[in-house]
Amino acid sequence: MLRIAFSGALAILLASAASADLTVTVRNGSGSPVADAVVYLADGGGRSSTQTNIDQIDKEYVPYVTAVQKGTKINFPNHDRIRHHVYSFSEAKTFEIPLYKGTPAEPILFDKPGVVVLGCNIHDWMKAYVFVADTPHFAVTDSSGTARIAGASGGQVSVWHPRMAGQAPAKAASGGSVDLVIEEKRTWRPRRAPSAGGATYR
Amino acid sequence: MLTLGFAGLAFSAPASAEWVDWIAEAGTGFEYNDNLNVSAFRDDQESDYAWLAAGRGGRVYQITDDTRLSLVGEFESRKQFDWEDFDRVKLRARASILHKFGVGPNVPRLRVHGSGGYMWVGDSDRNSWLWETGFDVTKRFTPRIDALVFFKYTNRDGGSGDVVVPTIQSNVWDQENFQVGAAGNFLVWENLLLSAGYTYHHGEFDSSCTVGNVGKVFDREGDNVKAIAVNNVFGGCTYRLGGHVHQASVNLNYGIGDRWSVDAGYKFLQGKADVLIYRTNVATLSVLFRY
Ligand SMILES: [Cu+2]
Repeated sequence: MLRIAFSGALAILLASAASADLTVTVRNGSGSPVADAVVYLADGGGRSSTQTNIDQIDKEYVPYVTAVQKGTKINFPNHDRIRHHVYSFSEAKTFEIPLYKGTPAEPILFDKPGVVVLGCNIHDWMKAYVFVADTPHFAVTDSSGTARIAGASGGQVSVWHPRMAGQAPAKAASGGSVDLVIEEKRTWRPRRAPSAGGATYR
Repeated sequence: MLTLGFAGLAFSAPASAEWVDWIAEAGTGFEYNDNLNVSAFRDDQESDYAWLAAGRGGRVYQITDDTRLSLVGEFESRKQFDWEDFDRVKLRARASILHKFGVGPNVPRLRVHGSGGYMWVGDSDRNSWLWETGFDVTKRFTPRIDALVFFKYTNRDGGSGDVVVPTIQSNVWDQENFQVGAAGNFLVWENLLLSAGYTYHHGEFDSSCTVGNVGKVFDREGDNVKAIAVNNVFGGCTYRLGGHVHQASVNLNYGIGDRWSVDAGYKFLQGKADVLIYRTNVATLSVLFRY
């Protein structure tokens, strides 16, 4: 009887330790939740996953923002029945996967921290971002502006977003959560909808 | 050595040469034209509204990583509210080669195209073969701004109408034109695209007038009247002139999702023969779709 009670308590303890996530919410100046924001801790050892995918679905990159730890390989499976031509001119990673269908044979290694902007040489509107972090402790906010950094309970939390104006100062988390506010600026990408004239690659 | 050369060629041939994409576009709209008959005389000008419908369908063949060939069938039609003799259907086949000078959004693109087709008009005297060739260079400067310059040669091969003056030809709808122009697109808001363009036409155009004004045309244009034919659509004659046309246009296009847009356009054309001036204003409101 005692043994059962003990193992039950242990299970609860373990469960609460495993769910020690840091909840971060990101809002903009007018209080609306900001999706696709990368939140990350200043430092920390360990290793997050070493490989992930950025898909191409209906002539868009999915997801729009991907956060990875330095040293992660990303593959770019093309789920469309047409070809895409992935490229980046960013300092953190310059590469090109010329026209292809299906999944490229070799994933791309992101070995330098920074922001990598992805484009497609056929579809000008296709755009996505890879945030290469120096730490394994990061997450990307969902549509409610919330992200959970797994296995962390406190620390200095920084934020990055494609529309962020300037650099928001890092903020200390307390009690397992922190709220961040960023100033957004307008960013532009070529429009996809048809027009009478226009520069489509056809 | 020759073998080596061939081997090298084979090696550098892009693995990507194949059919890669489809083109499917459609549009429908409404037009107002204040000078349907392109008359130089205010008392002859006829205005009208029309329904428009157009579609394009085809395939894209990737020749190299940077060069694509597209083969497209084009359909264009209009149904006039009052002047049904001006209803028309155009069917064309077009081939274009598009080359992008490198990788990235801002590298220039060159497109060379040629097309041939036929136009059926309510007034069957105006039925014509349509031929066209040209090129354009497009450049994006920022995600919000792009521009293009173009050159186009058009040749309309029509029939002949009934002779008016025995010494003057009646092949009014045989017309040749050269066009050069430039256009710019500016993204005002994420979905709102403002376009403006200018085209200079050099060549021939036709104009229709009532019998009472034919004398004035010969008075002022004399030898510049290249052809004239009886045409009852506007109760008189249609004639062909040499001259040039300045065309200015502006469009405001609102994107709805990825595939639809609503387009409001305005076009002003001013044709100048030796003496006479031909002014036309055209306004359109259309819905565009691209798969
Ligand atoms: Cu693409």
